Amino acid sequence: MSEQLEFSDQFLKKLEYLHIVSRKVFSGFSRAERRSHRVGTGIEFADHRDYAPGDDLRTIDWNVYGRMDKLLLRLFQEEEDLSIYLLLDVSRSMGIGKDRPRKLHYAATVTAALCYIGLANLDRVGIGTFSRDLNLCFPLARGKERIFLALRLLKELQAEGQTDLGKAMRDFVHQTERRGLVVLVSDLCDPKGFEEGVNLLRYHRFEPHVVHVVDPWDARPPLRGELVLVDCETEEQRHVTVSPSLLNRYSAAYRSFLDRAQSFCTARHIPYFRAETEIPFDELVLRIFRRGGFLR
Amino acid sequence: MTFLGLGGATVAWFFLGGALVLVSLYWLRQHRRRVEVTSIMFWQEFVDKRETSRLWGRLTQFLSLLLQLLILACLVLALGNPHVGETLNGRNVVLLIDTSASMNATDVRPNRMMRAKEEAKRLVREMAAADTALVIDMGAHPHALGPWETDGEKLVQQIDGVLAKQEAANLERAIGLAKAALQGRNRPTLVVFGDGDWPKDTFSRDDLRGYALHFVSVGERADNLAITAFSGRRRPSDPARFDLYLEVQNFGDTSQAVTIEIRSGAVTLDQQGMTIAAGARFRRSYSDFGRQGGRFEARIIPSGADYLERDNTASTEVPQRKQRRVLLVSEGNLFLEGALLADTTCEFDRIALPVAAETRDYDVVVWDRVVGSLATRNVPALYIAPPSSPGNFSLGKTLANPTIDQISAHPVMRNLTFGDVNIRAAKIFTPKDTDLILARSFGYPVIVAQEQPTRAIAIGFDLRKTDLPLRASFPLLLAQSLDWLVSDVTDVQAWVGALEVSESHIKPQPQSKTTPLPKRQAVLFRHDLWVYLALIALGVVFLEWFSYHRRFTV
Repeated sequence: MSEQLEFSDQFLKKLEYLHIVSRKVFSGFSRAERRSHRVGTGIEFADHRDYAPGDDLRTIDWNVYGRMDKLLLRLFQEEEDLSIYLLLDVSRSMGIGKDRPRKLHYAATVTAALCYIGLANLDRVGIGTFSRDLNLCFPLARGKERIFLALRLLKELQAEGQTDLGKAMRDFVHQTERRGLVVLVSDLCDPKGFEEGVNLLRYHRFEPHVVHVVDPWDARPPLRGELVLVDCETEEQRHVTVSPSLLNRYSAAYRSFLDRAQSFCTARHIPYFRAETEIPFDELVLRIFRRGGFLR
Repeated sequence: MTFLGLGGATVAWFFLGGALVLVSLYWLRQHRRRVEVTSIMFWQEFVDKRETSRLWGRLTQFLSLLLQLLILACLVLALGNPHVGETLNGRNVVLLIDTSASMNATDVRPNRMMRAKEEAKRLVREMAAADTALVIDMGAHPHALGPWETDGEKLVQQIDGVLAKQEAANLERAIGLAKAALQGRNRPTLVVFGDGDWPKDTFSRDDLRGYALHFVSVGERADNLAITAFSGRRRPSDPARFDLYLEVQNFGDTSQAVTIEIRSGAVTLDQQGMTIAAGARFRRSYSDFGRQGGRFEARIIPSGADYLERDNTASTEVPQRKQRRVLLVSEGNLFLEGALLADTTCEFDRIALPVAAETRDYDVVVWDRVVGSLATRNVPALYIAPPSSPGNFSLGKTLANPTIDQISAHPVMRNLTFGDVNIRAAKIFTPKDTDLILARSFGYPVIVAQEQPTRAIAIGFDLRKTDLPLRASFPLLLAQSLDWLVSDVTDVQAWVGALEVSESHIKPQPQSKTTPLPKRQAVLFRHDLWVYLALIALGVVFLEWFSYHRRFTV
């Protein structure tokens, strides 16, 4: 990136505001304020299971036994902090464009906001970047003071390399032992398709959220005439004569791609957020909050 | 192939220059703007799928340029005006078009003149691109109708303006004009359009060697009757009366029946039908048409073929004769008075002695043996036997028994004879340099005349002392004297139709030493190729436009 991302004081104030909002949404929780789905030694009843020899007798539900003559164990929820993984696409496609906000900048801003909120909510947050390969540049950590490290990291990001979502996610799931919430911030412009990567997250019991970063320039590029189009990642060239009718057909194809991504995620109950770079990042974050899932 | 426009080298340079410009523009167009996009996969379906075939892809890259170069080549070649089958050394053609009166003949439709013009225009249209032509009107005053031209349309316009005249063609002068125009020019060609009514060897001249001579004959038949003469005159012996003379000739090869009419205004004075043999002439005089004179028209109406109508009418005019007032100053002379009475055009008064009387109303004063001092006021006078020098005349001695042996050719003395006239005595005159001597006796003037200041005639002998009044010459002398003194016209103008007689002979004549105009072979296509090159260029333009918009080329 020729223009470096800057996180101003104004930005930090906005982060704090978002945090306050998030706390209003998620109130009444103390330490480890996110519940996992794991069964453990908490105090809240979670479920019953059959008694097996050797189980702790203290957990037998005698009420059920009195009623049904069946020995069942009471299971309680495990209260522990959830891991949030913020995976940021830093392929070259995220960094192109002049005279307009770059997707990488926008994505980094959104990532920074989510990271801050997660840390402020005492969750463990990790940040990883990927293009073809994955780089967990910011390991899972807890504590609000870690945000500055994250911001410095995000500031120095460079867009390079080709997108290979499938390989990157494969690397992620194999490297990561702790399951958690994965927020995939990407433009999903993978020539091999984004579906494999997202599915890998699901198959490995991660909780994927997709933030689809979209540049309006990509949706309707202001191009005319005889052009040589160069793929920013593969550097493939194509000679095109752009006319209004051709542009309309391109826009339809691009919209189709966006719709396909949304349909894919919706069909799999994956929260999907289309993040156009023209939309202020805080508005997007609030939308994420309202959508639910990121905050409990 | 011959380039009649730009030369071959110029054409080549034009093409090279144009090709350089085209290639530069093409290269600039190929140099497209590079735009970096997120991913090419969204554009994949809109990109030329033919790029998978490398050879075809390369060909389409250059196909548009090749088509444009082809268009340029066609246009530049068209500028060279190429011709096939011709050379730069074209002919210089003089078209001599006969515009004599015989070209009005209608033996060919619509007439010979129109046929000649059509033939001339056909020649012009078949001329090669390198030929130049000059059109000459071959009439009585040959002249060129314009400058040397290669433009066929202008030549056709000149030919259209040619009209047949009323007079004969001046062939000699026309040939001289043509030779002068062709001097120093390559491949001189003379093409004559006419009916050939000239001597057969007109073109068999040494000075026409080296010229390509062609004769286009436009006449076919010779049938024509014509009025070859029609005139009228008053009789000298009786000017009150006049005669008309008519001559009709049959120029055809067969006998012709014809009706001849003489008309005066709307009145038909005479009508006669007859048959005139081939080549024969019919002559007739008419004398019974009164005394008044006027305009007369002769008209012939052939019953058979007559291909030239302009010589079928003629007109003439006999001037009206006016009454002359004569004052006779005489003591009495019956011979003189009788002769004056017999002249119906005279009214005379006689007075015995000269008195100072007004003479303005008289046309002539006749002094018989008297010389007076009338207030003559410049009235012409006739002195007969004056006792003293009359007027401006000078009398001399008296001759006894004179014999008039010399008579001048003066109109007063026309048709008179004095050989056997007896005269007792006659006074002679001493003529001045300006006096006209009308008759002499032994060299002495006995009858004289003068014109200045006023006309006057003096006769030196007494009519009573001669037997002249008993001769036929006397009334004639008196009438002619009065005619001359009052300047009466006795000869009349005559018109003979509107044509010269030679033009009534319309029989076409072949001309030696000439060849018919060669017929140009029919061509399946034009010899000038620029039209085809322009059409090809236009077709390729459409092809290139179509292929570009259909994305066959880039």
